[in-house]
Amino acid sequence: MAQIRNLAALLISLCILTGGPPCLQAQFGALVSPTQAPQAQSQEELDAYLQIVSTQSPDQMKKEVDAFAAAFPKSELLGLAYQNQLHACEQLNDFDGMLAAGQKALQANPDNLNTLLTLAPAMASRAGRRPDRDQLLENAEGYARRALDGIEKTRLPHKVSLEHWEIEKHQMQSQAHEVLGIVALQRGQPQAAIPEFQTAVTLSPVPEGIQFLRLGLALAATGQNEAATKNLRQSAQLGPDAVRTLALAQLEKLQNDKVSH
Amino acid sequence: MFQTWSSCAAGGRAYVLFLLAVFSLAGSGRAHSQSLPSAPLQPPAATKTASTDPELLALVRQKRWKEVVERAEAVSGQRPEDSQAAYWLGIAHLQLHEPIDAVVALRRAEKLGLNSALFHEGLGLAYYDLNQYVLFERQMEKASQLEALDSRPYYYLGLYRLTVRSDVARALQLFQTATQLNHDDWKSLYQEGYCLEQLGKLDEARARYVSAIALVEKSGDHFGWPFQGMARLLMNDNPQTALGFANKAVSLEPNEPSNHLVLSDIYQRLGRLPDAIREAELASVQNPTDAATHYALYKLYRQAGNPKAPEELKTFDLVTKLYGSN
Repeated sequence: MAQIRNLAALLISLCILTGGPPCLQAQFGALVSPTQAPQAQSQEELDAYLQIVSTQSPDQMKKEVDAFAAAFPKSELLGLAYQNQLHACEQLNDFDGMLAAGQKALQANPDNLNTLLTLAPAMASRAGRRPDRDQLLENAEGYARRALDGIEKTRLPHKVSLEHWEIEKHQMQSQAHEVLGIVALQRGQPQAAIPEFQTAVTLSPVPEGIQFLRLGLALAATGQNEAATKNLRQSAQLGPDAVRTLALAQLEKLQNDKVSH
Repeated sequence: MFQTWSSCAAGGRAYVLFLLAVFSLAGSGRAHSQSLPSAPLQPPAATKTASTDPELLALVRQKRWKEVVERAEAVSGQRPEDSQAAYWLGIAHLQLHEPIDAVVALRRAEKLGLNSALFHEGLGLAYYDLNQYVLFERQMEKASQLEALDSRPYYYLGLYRLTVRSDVARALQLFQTATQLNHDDWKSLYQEGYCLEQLGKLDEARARYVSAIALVEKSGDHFGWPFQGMARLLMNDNPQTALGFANKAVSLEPNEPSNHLVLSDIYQRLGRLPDAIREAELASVQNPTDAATHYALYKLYRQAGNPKAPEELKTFDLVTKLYGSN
């Protein structure tokens, strides 16, 4: 159990080092029909929203979303505005801000894949020793499962090609399974985490070092050292540097353990 | 537009652009759809802050939109009160399918005093590009109030009612108003015919298509829709005559998938199966997310005993599941 706790701590530091899993790219559900597009009711409302979208500084964006919400509390664009705030907080590494903005974004659009798959990895990775850890892990798992369900039910606008969708779909599914793996690991269930990380690795359109690292760590935690070594080496090869450093450290640890045994 | 979603990690702007602007009239795969009309290119009514920058106006005349953006930004930087530089900046962004930048620039022009029908049409189209239909409708209403004899706002509103709202009856009224204001407005005339066809008034539809064809032939424009309309109306009773119209539509707009699909349908009726398959395949390549096209192709393959039929049926099922069947 101590080893698993250490792994969980390692995963948290990983997340902070790498800035968390990559941001999800696509959201279709709300826009299958153009008639469902949220409408500004005045030019000033849209001006204010476009100001948010055009802002480069995440700090400024956070403030502008708050100002927008105060000026247009009934705006149909509020959900999108909070989604922007969610990403701004993500860039600022402001986890509590992410939670607050994400919840508001989900209130406006509960099945928004972008929001679900931005919040879920952050919750899973950063639950750590927070007092609300169990709730965060439960939410992360729920959001990941809701996202997987939503991906299957997604209807696309015609402008999205089948080929592009396949890539995006696999990317999103990979992220969701990665979250389920992290949650399992955080709960001290590395055996349950392994198939989730394996699925994440298989589905990812582009091999990601961090996914191989997580899989390697889970395998190591269950004593499958040969498979762990293979994945950790792959992780070290793929990088980036922060991941590579951790993978190499873990490989060295496995090697030392082997020697000492 | 769509390639921009992958950049959401770099900031919300591109992602939200995608969210707001996934849809436009162009490429919807519906038989009656047309590309979003070009923004008005004439200079708007002059204001006391009007620009006379000859280089900018020359670039506009040549439709060199990227250079228009650069020049208009430079002029705006030197003379922030220049309403026409802001206007052309907005129109250039609109032409370049950058609707957020278009709206921002056009709003600046508006605040600097621009208030002509053309200006409001341009701003309305920029709102349309962002799926902001409430604001789009208001701008078109302003345009028609400022220039009561201008048919274009009614045409744009008609397209919106038809393609976004699926409100054929209201669309018909709007197109009728447009053609009353401008008898030579062949685009509105075609759309009027299409609405009548949808409402089952086939003789009236045919009359509109004939009139639109006469105008198109006179103007020499590459506008195949009324020919396709005639082909649709004739294909049951007189496929041979329909074939001429369908071929004409394809020759005028070879990149419009529905032209190929109609032509395929006619070939099939004439028993020319290989030609029908070729045209349906072309339509499928041009519009790969259209379920109706894949089903038509599947049926043709099956009829011809082509081994591609089962695979095409699978594609049809997948496309229907993901995109719907309209």
